[in-house]
Amino acid sequence: MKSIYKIVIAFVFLLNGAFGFAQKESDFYKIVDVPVPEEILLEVGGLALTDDDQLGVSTRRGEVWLIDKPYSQKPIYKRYAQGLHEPLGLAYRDGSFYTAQRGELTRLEDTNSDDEADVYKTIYSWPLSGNYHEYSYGPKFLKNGNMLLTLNLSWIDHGASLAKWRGWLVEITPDGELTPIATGLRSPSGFQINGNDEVFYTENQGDWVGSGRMTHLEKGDFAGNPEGLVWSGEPNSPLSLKMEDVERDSGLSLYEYSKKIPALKAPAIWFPHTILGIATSDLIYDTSGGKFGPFEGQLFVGDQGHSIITRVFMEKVNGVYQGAVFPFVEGFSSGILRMVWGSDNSMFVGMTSRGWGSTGKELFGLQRLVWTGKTPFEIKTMKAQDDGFELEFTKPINKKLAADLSNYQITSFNYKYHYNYGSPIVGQQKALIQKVEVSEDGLSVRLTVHGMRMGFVHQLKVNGVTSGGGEKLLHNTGYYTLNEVPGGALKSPSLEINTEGASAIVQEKRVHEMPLTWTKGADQELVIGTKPGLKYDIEELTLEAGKKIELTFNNNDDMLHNLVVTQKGIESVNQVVDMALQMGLDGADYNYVPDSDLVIVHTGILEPRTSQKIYFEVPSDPGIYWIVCTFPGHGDVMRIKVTVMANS
Amino acid sequence: MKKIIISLLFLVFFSACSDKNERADAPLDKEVLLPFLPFNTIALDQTTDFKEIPENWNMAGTVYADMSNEKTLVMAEGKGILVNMPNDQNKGHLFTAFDHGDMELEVDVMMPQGSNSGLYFQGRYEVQLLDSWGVKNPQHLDMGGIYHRWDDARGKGNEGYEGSAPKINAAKAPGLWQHLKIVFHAPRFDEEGNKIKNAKFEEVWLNGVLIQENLEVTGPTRSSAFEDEKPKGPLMVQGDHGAVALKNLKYKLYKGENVQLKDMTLREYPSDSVMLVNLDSLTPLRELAVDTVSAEMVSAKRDPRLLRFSGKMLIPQAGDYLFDYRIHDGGGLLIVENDTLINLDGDYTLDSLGVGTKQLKAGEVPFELIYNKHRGWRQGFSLEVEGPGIQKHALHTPGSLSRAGHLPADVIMVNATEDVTLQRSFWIHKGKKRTHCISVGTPQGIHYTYDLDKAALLQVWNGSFFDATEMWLDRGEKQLGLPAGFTVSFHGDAQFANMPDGSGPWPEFASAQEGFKAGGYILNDAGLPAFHYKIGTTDITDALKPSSDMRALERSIRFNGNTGLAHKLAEGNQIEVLPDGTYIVNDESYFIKFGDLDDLKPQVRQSNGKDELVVNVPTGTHTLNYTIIW
Repeated sequence: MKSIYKIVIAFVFLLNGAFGFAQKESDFYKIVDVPVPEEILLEVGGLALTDDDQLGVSTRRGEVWLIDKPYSQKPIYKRYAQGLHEPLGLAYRDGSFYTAQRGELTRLEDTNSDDEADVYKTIYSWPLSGNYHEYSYGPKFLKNGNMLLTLNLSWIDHGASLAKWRGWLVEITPDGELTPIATGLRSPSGFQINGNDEVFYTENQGDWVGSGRMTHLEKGDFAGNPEGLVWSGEPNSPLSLKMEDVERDSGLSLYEYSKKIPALKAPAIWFPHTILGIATSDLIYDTSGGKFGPFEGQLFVGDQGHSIITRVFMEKVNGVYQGAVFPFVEGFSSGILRMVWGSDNSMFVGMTSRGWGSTGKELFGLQRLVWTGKTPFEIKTMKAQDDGFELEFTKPINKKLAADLSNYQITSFNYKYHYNYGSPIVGQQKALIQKVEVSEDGLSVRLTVHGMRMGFVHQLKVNGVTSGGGEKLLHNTGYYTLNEVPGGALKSPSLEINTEGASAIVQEKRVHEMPLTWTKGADQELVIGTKPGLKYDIEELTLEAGKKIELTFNNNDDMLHNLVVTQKGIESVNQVVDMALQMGLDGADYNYVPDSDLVIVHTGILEPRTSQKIYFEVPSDPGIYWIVCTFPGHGDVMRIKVTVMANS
Repeated sequence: MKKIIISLLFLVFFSACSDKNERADAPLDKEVLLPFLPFNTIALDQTTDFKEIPENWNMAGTVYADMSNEKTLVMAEGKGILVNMPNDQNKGHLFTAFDHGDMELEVDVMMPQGSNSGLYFQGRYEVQLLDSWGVKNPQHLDMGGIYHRWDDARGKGNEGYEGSAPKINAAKAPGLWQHLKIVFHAPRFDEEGNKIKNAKFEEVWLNGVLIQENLEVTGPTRSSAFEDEKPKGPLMVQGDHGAVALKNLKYKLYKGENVQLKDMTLREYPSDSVMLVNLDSLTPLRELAVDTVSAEMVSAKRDPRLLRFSGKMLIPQAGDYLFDYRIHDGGGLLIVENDTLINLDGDYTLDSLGVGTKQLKAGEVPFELIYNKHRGWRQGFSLEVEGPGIQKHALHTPGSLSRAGHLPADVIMVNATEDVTLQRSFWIHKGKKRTHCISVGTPQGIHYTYDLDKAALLQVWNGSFFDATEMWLDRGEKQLGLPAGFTVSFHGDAQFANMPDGSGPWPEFASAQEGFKAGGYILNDAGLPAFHYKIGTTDITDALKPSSDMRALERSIRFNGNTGLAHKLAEGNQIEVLPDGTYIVNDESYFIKFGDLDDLKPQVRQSNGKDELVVNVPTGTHTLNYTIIW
């Protein structure tokens, strides 16, 4: 008996070794719930650890909660402060909490030791126009003891700076003196200060923002959205650029345009939209000294829409920050807004999705990300060379597989810099891997690449390699933003390929004209709109089999959506959603609608406040069909149940 | 002091003499559009509107309540106020010379301590007037209650029946002017004189709060002047139970007729723009005959659409007609007899006023109503009309506004039943949005809102605490808090000013002054905040506390520094000081009672046609204590 088992086990092991065994993210990083009492609406806005190892949580309901024993399964919650106006950040220093509410920077202090704040000191109060979109984030402390805050633009069907300093990064002293630092911000919900007092902030896809991104902000920088420039004439403004100086549709990428305007700062990292998130939020450095796995010194970045955390490796080349973003952990319970380290080197992840919707279905949550102690097999770093890239791995790689050129693919692409909401992927082009050199210790691989392009995002895909021990890569993609190369001059030969990307793509099921065979017109006109929070404005619909339908889809939201009618059955819509997620870089060109028999008819991707009409005949087979938005991240929640009735 | 009283009397005399509600000398920046037709005013300076006036009723130019004696009013000669001071020999009721059927009435009344009176519609159906200040659970016999009926035949202990308590106790402190607005419908009879419909109080408003709604009365209430019911009767004010003062008595009589619609057609178009284009150049999507107007007639629920109603109004009689058109996030026009009476072409909310008046002849009047639903997902409008003897009523169907507003299940309330509760929010004050406001709710049920940016007390109220639906439902696009209860509003200007010579207009913003710094607030052991400011070199600490035994807010302000300041406590049409030193502020109507003033002197100054109650605070350390009572 026993020897048979041994043989079976050995066989299984051998098989796995041959094909590489796959592992789950949770083998290495576990998501653990922090219990929240039922009566507390912990819509996390800010997180800060106190000197007593308690976790301070500020919430969108205006409260600050102090959690004792936050690492245990029986944490104790005490309400520390109340009545604040949507505080979206929290910091702790010398016994006081500091928080940015909508309208002011406030210091909270408990002077009589009853674990409740009695001092609510206004450090600085700034003007608001009363627009809901004017969120204020922070603070975070600089070495000199001053605080940094970022301020959201207002929203009037597009971003605007209706009150002073909206769209700016500002520095405020503890005594309440404000200095404006940089502008061009649109929705700067996350920012971080590193050990050198350098500031990085993240941006969401939106008007003037082609995709999520992270930018190194220095004094006088302009990050891209020109609305904040309305204040650049103020006496203490560090830049004099005016809104009129920025072309609304230059046809260039942000990198190219930054060569025309010195104040414009190109991002260090682009997060490709729908591939690595849709609403980039908080960022923290791995300062654990190796106690959170092999990524010491790198960054982790949260996403509110997809409920994921990605990992960013950055390097400074010719004084400019750039680097690569990799998938890290998915499956958090709600929309991630804040991350902070616990004293045990686990990561607290604070979440809220009220008003926007997220892949994690809960309205709010608090979880911890804990390293299991096992090291995953991952691409640890990706560094730019003047003619290629150097990859480091967390474990020695199988040298034979690593040396195979065909296991690597690089594609570069870009985004347009314009006033429109978001940007499709433009200029997509495959690069050529000309040579692979594997290091002696098997820990790194040097790729010589033809077709690298300055200012483009380079997607790396690594297939078929395993570690020496037979593990498959936990994540095999990375996206490198190439602003500079060592030495200053690109030596990678360019490739002569038509760079205009996809020419007119024909999708037969995208029917915008009434079919000529409908001589009497449509039988029924439907109008479907949207509601905030990833919803259509109806949840159910009944149609009669065989009827000719003219469907008008109005996208009233401030995000991109589409509308797809899928074949009968819940499995059909689920499969279409999955296929859409797999479409990768091509997805946007195909409006995130896969070429599949499971799709009956679909619209294109609609920008906010636009409308499209499609035409189709209701299938003759009665039953339950679905309408769904297949935009990545929306497909699980944004649906309409369509009951098709037999003809009467 | 004498000079102040005399000058105040002079001012009161002036205001009481004018026919209209506004003071004649108050400068108006622009004409204020009111969404209703003018009232008939009973000028309380002559007696022709009343039957013979009993001796206990007298004209006065000013009146105040004697706080040390029950049921006592003190009056000074003049006109404009009718004061009742009954005694054993003289305690007659006051009757109007005219009889009324359906009527809308507005009046200000002042009840002294412990007093009792009543407004009897048609001399038969009573709205109770009583000093109900401090009553926790109001009954039918409290202020604003519909008094019960009485029948001895029902047996001892059961004689009283029906009657209706006010929804909440909105009665102010005795000695304050209280505003009543009542819409009353008389009973209806057939040709034989049989009653076919009961009398009804459609609305009773006390101090801005709706306390009775659609309350039917089956017969005359207790102590009425008549035992029977008739289509008409005189208005009676009860004179035998206690002292009462009346002013600003105005009314409208209604005949129970409505404006009808006739020969209506609807043309529906797609809507491509916020601003209207020439509709005659467009082809309608459909055209049909209708008999009402309604936003629900849009055929495609989420598409932007335009509805054009054309037809005739049947006008019962000649006179001035007022139209009131409100649109939920859309645009529109009302054209009557080729006159564009109401122009809401653009983007308007239900808060925007769309009012137009026109003199019309009796008979058929052509009109056109255009409703531009340019936002596909927002729908709703209301169209109301008021005419001579015609109560304001809806021309739209009830469903026309069904898609505006929150579902009850979505309402989010914040309570303060056990502990002091704070909540910052945006706040609307006098129609404008303020962005740095904090509301404080107390277990005593007395709450207030304070503007931290302007250093100004905005509102006090009594009841539940705070409606936070507009803050925390979905994204909370309005971020507005709403008070849940019976409110009294204040001027809202900066309350502290650096005014070296004390003259000139009061600054609107605290932050506009040099050296103004808002410091936040510190909570005391009870959880109540004290607000901190600095103006120049003077530190200010402003602490408010609910009174434990009456509806009042106690305020203690400490000044310390070398910048002399002025503090504006109140602003009103009239601010008077009573013999015991209490100030009464009208027209909002509340008391301000000072504590120990030491060397500080309150004064009333005039600015922009209003009275301001101001205290100058010199350099050094000073504490100013006063209580706001309402």
